[in-house]
Amino acid sequence: MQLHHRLLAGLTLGGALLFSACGRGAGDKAGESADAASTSGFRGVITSPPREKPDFTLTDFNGEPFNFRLATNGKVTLLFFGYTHCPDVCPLHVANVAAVLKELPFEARDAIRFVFVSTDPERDTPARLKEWLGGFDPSFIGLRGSVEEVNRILYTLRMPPIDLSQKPAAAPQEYLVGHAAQVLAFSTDGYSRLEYPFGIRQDDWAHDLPKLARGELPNGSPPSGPGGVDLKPMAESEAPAVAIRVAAALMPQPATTTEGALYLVLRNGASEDTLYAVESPAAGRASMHETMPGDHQAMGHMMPLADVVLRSGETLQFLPGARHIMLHDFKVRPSVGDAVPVRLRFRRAGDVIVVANVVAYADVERMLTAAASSLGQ
Amino acid sequence: MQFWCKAEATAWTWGWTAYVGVWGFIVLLVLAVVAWNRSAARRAGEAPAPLHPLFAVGVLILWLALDWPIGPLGASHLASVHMLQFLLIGLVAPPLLLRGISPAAQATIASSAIMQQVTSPLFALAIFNVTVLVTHLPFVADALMPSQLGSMAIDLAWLVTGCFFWWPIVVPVPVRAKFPPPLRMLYLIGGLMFSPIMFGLAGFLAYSETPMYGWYELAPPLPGISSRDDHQAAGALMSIGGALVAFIGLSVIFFNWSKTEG
Repeated sequence: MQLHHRLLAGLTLGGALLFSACGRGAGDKAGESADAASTSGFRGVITSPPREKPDFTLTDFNGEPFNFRLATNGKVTLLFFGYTHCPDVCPLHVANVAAVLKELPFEARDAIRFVFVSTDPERDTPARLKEWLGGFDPSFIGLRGSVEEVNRILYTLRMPPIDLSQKPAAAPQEYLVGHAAQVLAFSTDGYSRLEYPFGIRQDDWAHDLPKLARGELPNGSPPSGPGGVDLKPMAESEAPAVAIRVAAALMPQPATTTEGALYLVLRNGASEDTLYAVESPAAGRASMHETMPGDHQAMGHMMPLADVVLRSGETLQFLPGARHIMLHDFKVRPSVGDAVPVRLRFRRAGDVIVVANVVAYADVERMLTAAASSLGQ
Repeated sequence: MQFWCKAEATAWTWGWTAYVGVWGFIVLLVLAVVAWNRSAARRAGEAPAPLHPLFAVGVLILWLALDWPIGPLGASHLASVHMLQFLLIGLVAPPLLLRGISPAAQATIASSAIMQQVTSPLFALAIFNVTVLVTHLPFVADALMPSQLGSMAIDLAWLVTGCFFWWPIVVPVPVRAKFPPPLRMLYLIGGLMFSPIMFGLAGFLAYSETPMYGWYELAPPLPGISSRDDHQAAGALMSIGGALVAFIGLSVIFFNWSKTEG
């Protein structure tokens, strides 16, 4: 069975950061997560930093408003974004969770809520959601909202937005929807430290769900912690609590196989600090640049930056056409849905590790603007 | 178009796919048996005997089990269909295919020391059951099924060891004085009807709390069929199908024995 578990780990790894168009999978680059998973006491993949349970209200399949944070308060909550016409990932996740929940004792079952947020509100009518989810487990909750609403929730969770690019104009009922393929598990304290990518099996759910229901946390994980992205407006008095607060770390899908740009929105705490280096295990080297504007005689060019000073309480933005980070010599070219770990080295605050989501270029500006506005900019 | 069916993580559709490796294998099998029978007849100075009709039935069953839709459904989506494939390829087709080998050809092959060894009841029983066990271990099946060669290896292993298993029952050479009909019936009962390997695997499939095979559990689902139901159906098929095939074999042996005794 040892070998069997190794195979399973392979499958799990392959799906760990999967961004799926239901059949379209991304690469396998979650080695660190898998190592962590093997020692965490859980078979889910460790989320670092933990995600805070988002506070949003959508409409449930009965047509009633459903406040996610309030309605699931005190319960272990499994949150999944999918759609009912999905041919593979969604029905598998939902069926596997339902099959395992059915076998759990009542107390454990009662401690767990499964919430399904539709990424395809056009076809997922309330009736369709209710019928589809009810076919797996009548206790499952189905929510729907506009694509924009759901994308905003996804953004707060550091997950890629809904991809409707495969929706054809000619035959609108036959299309795939790209969406994140992992189930997020929120503990009773409101933080998600574990996620379950495609490839997780019933055996793994049967191992983890009773532990989650008992309130156990993964070994070595902090009891709680801030996520890398938080859209809630931050009060001035909160600033010193976290020396450097990263509101967004985004990478548009690189146009070349060798290098790509990275954009950030971050806010400094009470003391002046200097960002003096950037590193990423996904790239051979990283450097900071500022795009200098051209004029009628010369084209714009990139000027290397040795460091960037952040004044006390300053919000610093690395944006397209301005200051930005370049990652060079990719080991594997990142694609939409991937997550690229990046280490930001500050003189005073030390190293801050962020996970940059790879998104479509068209989404970058909107997401950076949203992140900046969350910091009151 | 593909060479052989393999496990694929794509949703099932009823769109036909050509499996040229399967067709080629079936054609080669028929040509090989025909050529072998003719060559053996020539060497024995006899006229070539026509192929036994049961051989054609065996070829048809083998083709059905390997080709679309049973092949891809069994390779990618349903453990129960994979088990049906096992029954057809490893248990049903071999005795029928062996009937296609003419007595002259049987004599030539039976004179080989290696064939005498591998078709001896004990060896055949052992190699067949070990193959059944190994090819149904989850980590073996999950590792081999996603490749065309791996999937083909499993299918051919079932067919070849199935032929070894059935040889002492179906083929009268080499003459084994110590393997009379009652012992043949015991061989079928112990090796098939109440085989601890088959019963054990069937039990695990039917009663395991979670699905055994990762590929079938994580395959794009077919509407209305849960992976657990599918695995339970596979267990039931293995147990009931194996017993049914053994029962038919026992009946044939018994009635043939009655005729010769009577």
